[in-house]
Amino acid sequence: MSISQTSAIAPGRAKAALGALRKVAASFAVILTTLLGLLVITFVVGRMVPADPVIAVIGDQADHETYERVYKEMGLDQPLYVQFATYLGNVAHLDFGQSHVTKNAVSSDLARVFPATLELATLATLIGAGFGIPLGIISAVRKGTWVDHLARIVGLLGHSTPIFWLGTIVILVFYAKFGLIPGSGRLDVYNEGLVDGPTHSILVDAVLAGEWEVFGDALLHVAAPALILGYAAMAYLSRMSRSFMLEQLRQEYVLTAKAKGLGQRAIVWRHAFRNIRVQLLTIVALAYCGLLDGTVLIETVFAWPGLGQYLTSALFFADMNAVLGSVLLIGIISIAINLLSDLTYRFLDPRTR
Amino acid sequence: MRQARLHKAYVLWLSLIANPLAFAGFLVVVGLVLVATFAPLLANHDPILQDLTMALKPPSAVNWFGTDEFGRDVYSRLVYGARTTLYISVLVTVIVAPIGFAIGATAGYLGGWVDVVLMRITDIFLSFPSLVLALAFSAALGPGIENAVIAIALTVWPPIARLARAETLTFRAADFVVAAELQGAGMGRILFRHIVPLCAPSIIIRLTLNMSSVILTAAGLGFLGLGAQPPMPEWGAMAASGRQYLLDAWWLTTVPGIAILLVSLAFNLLGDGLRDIMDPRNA
Amino acid sequence: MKRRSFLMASAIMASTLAVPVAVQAATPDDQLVIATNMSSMRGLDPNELNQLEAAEIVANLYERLIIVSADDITKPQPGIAESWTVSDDGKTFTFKIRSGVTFHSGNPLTANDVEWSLRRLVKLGLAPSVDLRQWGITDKNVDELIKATDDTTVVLQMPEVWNPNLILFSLASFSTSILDSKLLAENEKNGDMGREFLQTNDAGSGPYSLKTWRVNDLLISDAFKDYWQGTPKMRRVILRHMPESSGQRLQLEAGDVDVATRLSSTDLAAIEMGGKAEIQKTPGFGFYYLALNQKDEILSNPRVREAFRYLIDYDGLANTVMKYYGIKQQTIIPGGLPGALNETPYKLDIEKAKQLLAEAGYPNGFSKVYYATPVTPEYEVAQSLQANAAKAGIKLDLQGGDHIGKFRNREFEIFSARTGERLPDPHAVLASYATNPNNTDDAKLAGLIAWRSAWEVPKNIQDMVTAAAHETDQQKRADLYAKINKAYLEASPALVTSFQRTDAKAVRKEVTGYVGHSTWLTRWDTVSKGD
Repeated sequence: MSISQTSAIAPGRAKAALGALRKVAASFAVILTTLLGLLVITFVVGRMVPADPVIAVIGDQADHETYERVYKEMGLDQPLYVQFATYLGNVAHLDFGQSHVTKNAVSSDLARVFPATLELATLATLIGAGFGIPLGIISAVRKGTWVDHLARIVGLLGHSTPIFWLGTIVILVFYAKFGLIPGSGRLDVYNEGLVDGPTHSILVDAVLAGEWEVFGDALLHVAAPALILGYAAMAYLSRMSRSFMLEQLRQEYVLTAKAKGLGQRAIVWRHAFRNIRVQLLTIVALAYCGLLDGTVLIETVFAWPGLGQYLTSALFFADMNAVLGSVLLIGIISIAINLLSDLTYRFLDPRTR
Repeated sequence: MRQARLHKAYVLWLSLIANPLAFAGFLVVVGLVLVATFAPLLANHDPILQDLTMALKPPSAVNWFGTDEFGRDVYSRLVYGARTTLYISVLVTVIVAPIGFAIGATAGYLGGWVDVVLMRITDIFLSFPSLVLALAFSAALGPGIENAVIAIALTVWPPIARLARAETLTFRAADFVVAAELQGAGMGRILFRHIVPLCAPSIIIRLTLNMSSVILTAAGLGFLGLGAQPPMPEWGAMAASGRQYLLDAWWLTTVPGIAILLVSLAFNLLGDGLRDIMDPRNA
Repeated sequence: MKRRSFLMASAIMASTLAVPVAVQAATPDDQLVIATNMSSMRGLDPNELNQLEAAEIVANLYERLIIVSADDITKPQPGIAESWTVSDDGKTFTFKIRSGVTFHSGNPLTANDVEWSLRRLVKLGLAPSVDLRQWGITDKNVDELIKATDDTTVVLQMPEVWNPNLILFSLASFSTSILDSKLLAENEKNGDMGREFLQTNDAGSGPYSLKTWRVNDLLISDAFKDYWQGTPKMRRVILRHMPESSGQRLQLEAGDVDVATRLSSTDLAAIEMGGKAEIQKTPGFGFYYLALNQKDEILSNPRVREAFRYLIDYDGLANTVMKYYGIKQQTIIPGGLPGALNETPYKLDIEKAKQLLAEAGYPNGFSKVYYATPVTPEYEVAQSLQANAAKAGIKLDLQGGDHIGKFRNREFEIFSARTGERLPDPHAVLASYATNPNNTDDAKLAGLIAWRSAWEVPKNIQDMVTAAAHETDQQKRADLYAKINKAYLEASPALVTSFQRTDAKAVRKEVTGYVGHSTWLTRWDTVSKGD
């Protein structure tokens, strides 16, 4: 959220605590109104979707009596605001309703699909940060050389490539032509059902269960989509870290250190990097949020049973409860990540402490 | 005043030429405009003429980029598709720039609860991942290119509004603004007479940088079947329908994908270059 | 430092990319893997679902009184009902229930389960309940009409005389599956007759039992060891959600799946060429059709309706897009059923269409909005029509999307889609395409596509359809259907049929016994692998 309220340094400790408390309360209110706004928009949008949820349930050929019956059963005969109020009331009791497509409780659906997306996005972020940050820093240090230009082009390419297209081409080349990667999904069929673990992240569950074959298989399946998403994240992260590093290298202390004869490696990694690590953390968090977006398309391409695919199909079938639940989850996550990076910013950054 | 502006533009032009990457981007964007304008001259087939006996033919001297599942010429569709892409980008810009500016500048100028409410709404829109939001809106509005434009515009305005607000805040207390207020100028007059010219450059750069994400989002929507409707050629939809025939007709997906990549890269290079020129610290 | 990290990173990347070569492997000999598209599956309650993919699963989890086998679809054979008799007045059906059949739960299957299941179908009144309700059984009279008289006897009484095959076919449909009433009673919630339980569990006696089901992802079913016809050969049948045709083809060719069910025409052609799998084209009882709204002044002109029949590129489509998806057919009774005709009088003829339009008073054509669903091959067929119509001066504004709701409410101009009926009898198709007892908006006969098109079906056709359904003499009935077929063709119907649908599947050569079923009841227990 906003990074602006960082100036208050209260004289007394009690006063400070009170102020902090008030601030927490205020930001809590902000979060609640944001979430409410999200739900209102989603609800309205969902109601505008031309697909008819009743037909999505009963099929095209059903007669009028069946239609009416299911229409009432789904509560669609109530006025819109009543439906929304009912929904809110249920959410307050942590009941997100039932998906009429999957026929499961939305909460249990989300518990199933979200870990798949989380797994993918986490790996992609690690790849993106692992390659992007060093690349950005190197091109800042070697500004204007061919390394810098190359890094810049690689970065911009990542920014400009249609992800769904890249995924398709990767499947065509690496799966179809060379058989280097496995096809769609999270696991090969014969490895299905071997681990059904506590976290629903197959990688973690396989490790916990000691099923190394399953782990390997899952890693192979996740590799291609994670690398593609990671590339997109890398593009963003390398650009940002380059400009952070450039800013540091212009600072006075760098010049002083140079004058003192300190080696460049020491300056860059021991001093400058330390100063930008909080900023880096923030942009990594933002990249993580951004990846939730990228997963929508990549999950379709790789038939990855995650949140993106769940939300897309829910939208197409006008599955309101599923859409609202997913949007709420995405909203909460992006707010939480923003808040978290905001907090670390305040605690870790020497300038704001 | 005009001369100063001309001079500024000339300096900008010189710096653009001096930056080879940005200039390359500029050339591709100009190329896109030219291709879109002269599409009927450049195309060597009717882009919507079907001939099922010619379906899925590989690239050849007659069909440079092959034919699609209806026997239509992919090259000609690509050329006409440039119009669709340009149409979307221009329309989104035309919609977003004034709306984003109006909301942001009003919030910044008036402050108080107006600011709080407007920025809260902006934040709500920002907290949606943009593709998800565009997807939801265009699913709601129904497929079609105009609806896709509206859906994309809905995801692009919040950052513009943020930017306009920030810029407005810096000029809010400036002498000339206060002077105009004392003369009894209304808010609208002040915003459009005084604030707009000052905000314009940074908003333009921002929009140029955004253009590639607009194009990618449009292609993504087309890919999910929500963009342009047949027989209108649109690159994202072309790439998507080619996926059905991926293994036997690689050109169907590859060619429009490269076109999207090229144009979006060009806008990025241009935007990047423009920013470097305006803000030389990052160069 | 940085050089080392780069080296390490590239090593990691190389290792993740290099290993998988070894991974490619065939599916195990005792497991069948089917690639499918699950996105329109809605639960696994036989009395609730209404969809092809789910029907095949339910067909194997449950059993029914009657069996119609894939190789002779027009002949009812004994299933859970060992034998049956029909009374002389044609109204009372008495079924003798096979003993020694158990459910997956271990409960024995009795006549009470049959009674309870059939009543449940009617009482829930959801989409598939039409299978019994169309014969006059309602939730009011069902307790009177369907009764178990002892542990092995069930008596069905029909309010009217119908051709007995219609009733028997209905009892072979997935919707009339026999459910484990005891198990469902134990899992009932708020009087829902086990609906919630059945969304994710099975309560059947079929050759396979449900093990795992994750929506839009995966379904695993295991062989039922105590199946009364013997344990099936395939220990496990796995269905995998793979919406992409190219993905299905690749995995089929690599041997990662045994059966692929949603393939594009080009992929099917390539698989056929590749020689690793056979293509099965199973005819279904439905058509690719074009609906012209008769509330529209222009479209209700018979000459305009006739013109549209000359704007479809039957032969071009038959050789490309529709090669595996349909069989060219312009009459209304599907091939293989009594009364079917082998006539295709129409072909693409733009000039003829122009002439008809001129005679109708529209020499310069007109523009209409055209709704179609953006899925293969329906959308390709729609785009082809759009291009040909343009040549004849008709501008069609094609809008892809989910427009079925509008079609059902008669809020459209032109609409196209495909149908699929589950009863292997001409009546199933004709009831929807050729009867419309009340053409007013208020009648809301939304189940009939003739009503949706606001088409006043000629009275003589409607009368013949009704008479044929009640006719008990099979030969007379077949003659009647031949007459209906001719009359329908000559009526310039508002529903233009172009192709009879076929469902194409690719089955790897080492798999035997997987036979596509026209009413979606493909069996898994007859499948074996190897020689």
